[in-house]
Amino acid sequence: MSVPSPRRTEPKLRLETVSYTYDHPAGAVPDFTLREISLALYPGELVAVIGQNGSGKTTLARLCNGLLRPTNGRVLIGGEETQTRSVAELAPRVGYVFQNPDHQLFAPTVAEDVAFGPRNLGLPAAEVERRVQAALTDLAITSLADQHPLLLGYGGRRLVALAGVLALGSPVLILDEPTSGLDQASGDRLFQVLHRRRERGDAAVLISHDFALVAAHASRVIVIAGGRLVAEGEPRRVLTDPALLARAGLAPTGLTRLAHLLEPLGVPADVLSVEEFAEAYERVYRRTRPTSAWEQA
Amino acid sequence: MITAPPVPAGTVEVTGLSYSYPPTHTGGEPVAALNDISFRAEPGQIVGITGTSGAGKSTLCLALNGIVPRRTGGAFRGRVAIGGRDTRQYEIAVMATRVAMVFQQPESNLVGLSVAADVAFGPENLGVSPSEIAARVTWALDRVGMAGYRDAAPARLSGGQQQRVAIAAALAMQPAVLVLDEPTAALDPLGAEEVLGVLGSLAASRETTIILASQDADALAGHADWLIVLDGGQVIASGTPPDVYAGNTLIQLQSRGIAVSAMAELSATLNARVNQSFAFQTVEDAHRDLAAALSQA
Ligand SMILES: Nc1ncnc2c1ncn2[C@@H]1O[C@H](COP(=O)(O)OP(=O)(O)OP(=O)(O)O)[C@@H](O)[C@H]1O
Ligand SMILES: [Mg+2]
Repeated sequence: MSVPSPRRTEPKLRLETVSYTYDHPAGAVPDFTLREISLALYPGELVAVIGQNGSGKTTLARLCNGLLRPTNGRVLIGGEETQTRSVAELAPRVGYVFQNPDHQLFAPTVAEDVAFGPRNLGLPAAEVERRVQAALTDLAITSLADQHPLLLGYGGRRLVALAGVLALGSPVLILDEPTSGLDQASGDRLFQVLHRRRERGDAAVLISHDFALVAAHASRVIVIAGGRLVAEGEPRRVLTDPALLARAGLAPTGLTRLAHLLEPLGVPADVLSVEEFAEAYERVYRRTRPTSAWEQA
Repeated sequence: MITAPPVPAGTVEVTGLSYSYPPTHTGGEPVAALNDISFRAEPGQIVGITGTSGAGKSTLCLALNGIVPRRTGGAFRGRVAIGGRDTRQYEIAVMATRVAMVFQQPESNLVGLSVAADVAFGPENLGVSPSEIAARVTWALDRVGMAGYRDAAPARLSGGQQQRVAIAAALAMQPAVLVLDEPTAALDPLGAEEVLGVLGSLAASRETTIILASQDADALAGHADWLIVLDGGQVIASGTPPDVYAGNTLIQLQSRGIAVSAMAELSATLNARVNQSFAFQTVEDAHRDLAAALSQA
């Protein structure tokens, strides 16, 4: 991939030993939802966050864009602490796609809704229009432009919410389960846009339960369990390690389970996609059955 | 006069169903959503509905208890009947004694002050006795891994936890027909397997009819007895998962951007590479067939 090599530059987003609690009952020891999370997001990276339901992923996302302020520790965006900035001031720097799309739809038409963000940035009308068209085209929803967003189906509403955030053009995107309820084609279009943006140095955080999707697109994976960061690494290392996943209450994909079952016969256990699996299997197959390979040729 | 034999309460009959939503603004066009859909589900069957975003899956779900067209208006043709009761003749409240629905958005399912109150809400409306309700609430929350959250406020749960509660609320109604729209989209891998397992055991032990709308092809391949694939409001394919996720239908689904199960995709990819005709749908079958192909030297 031609994405810029990370880590030589300043991180776009940094969390320094961040803890967070929703409750501060007087005198009580706070029950932390997130505990001492440190991470850095470098230009061009797409970092996936995986974890069980309730492990703290959405809480982490809300801390990244300033919707929540850390109880302890610091969140820095472009080197600056979110504590000192309002959510509106942060919006041009971090785009946030909510887990529930209806939390960000309110205008009477799809086009108006998508225009809301860039207009609020104070951009000239022509530039707003250009961004709206680009976002609608990228997600193949130009035909919905005049419809009422809340009357669309769930997948449609999610695409409109995504278009609105893409139109902001923020250099950091936080995507909380962006493909849930979307068909394959729509998800593919979203990741094409993300890939283009990463090539220009933008970075993204992707929260998802779809490990095949994470395997296909993430440059790094972070595993959260019980509010703690319990593992971090390349997708191949994290997603194909059933024991590591089990420690976080997660399970590997069917493809990974199959690869592990066939490992004794020579199929590598760390294949990440159907394509990789098929290639590896074919190699083993031709080795163990040289004659039939001949016959075929 | 010949009287027809009684139809079991869990039989779902959809015959020649076409539906358009009313125009979104005055002077606008009606919005066509479903076009001549017919299918039948018998007690104890799990019928999967899949397709592109906006293909009509959610509309079809809403037609099964009469919300479409009773709440939505629009133009409705054809017949939808549950256990012989036509949705045009019976009020939504009456249909609700047979059909429980889990909507795509967990929050729209949750109304109460506590998790337990939310799960009790459905059976209360059905006039179930308090002691029976208490037993069902405990049972249903336990099935979805939320037993520890009885007294929690639904608004303060994570997205996946809310989804689990919404499913528990439908389970507690112990309906003859259970309609679920993307029930596993927000669930972590083990949570999704747990819920699909519960649905399977309800179908097997209580003869509950399950209608499962989902983009998760692996879940459908592993759990549905019959699949209906929608695109543009029409049925473009139907059959058992091994029939739908194979051969030309598989190619057609992929070309329309509809996800197919990973194991089916792997079978097809391998068949193009090695001289075999694999047709596995589950990891276990794949393991057996792929190992066997390597050992026949
Ligand atoms: N507004 C809130 N007030 C209090 N507690 C909350 C609130 N939102 C979430 N929580 C709790 O914080 C924990 C983490 O929730 P969070 O939404 O971050 O999880 P998540 O990893 O995003 O889960 P999911 O996969 O289900 O979306 C959960 O135990 C949840 O009940
Ligand atoms: Mg979440």
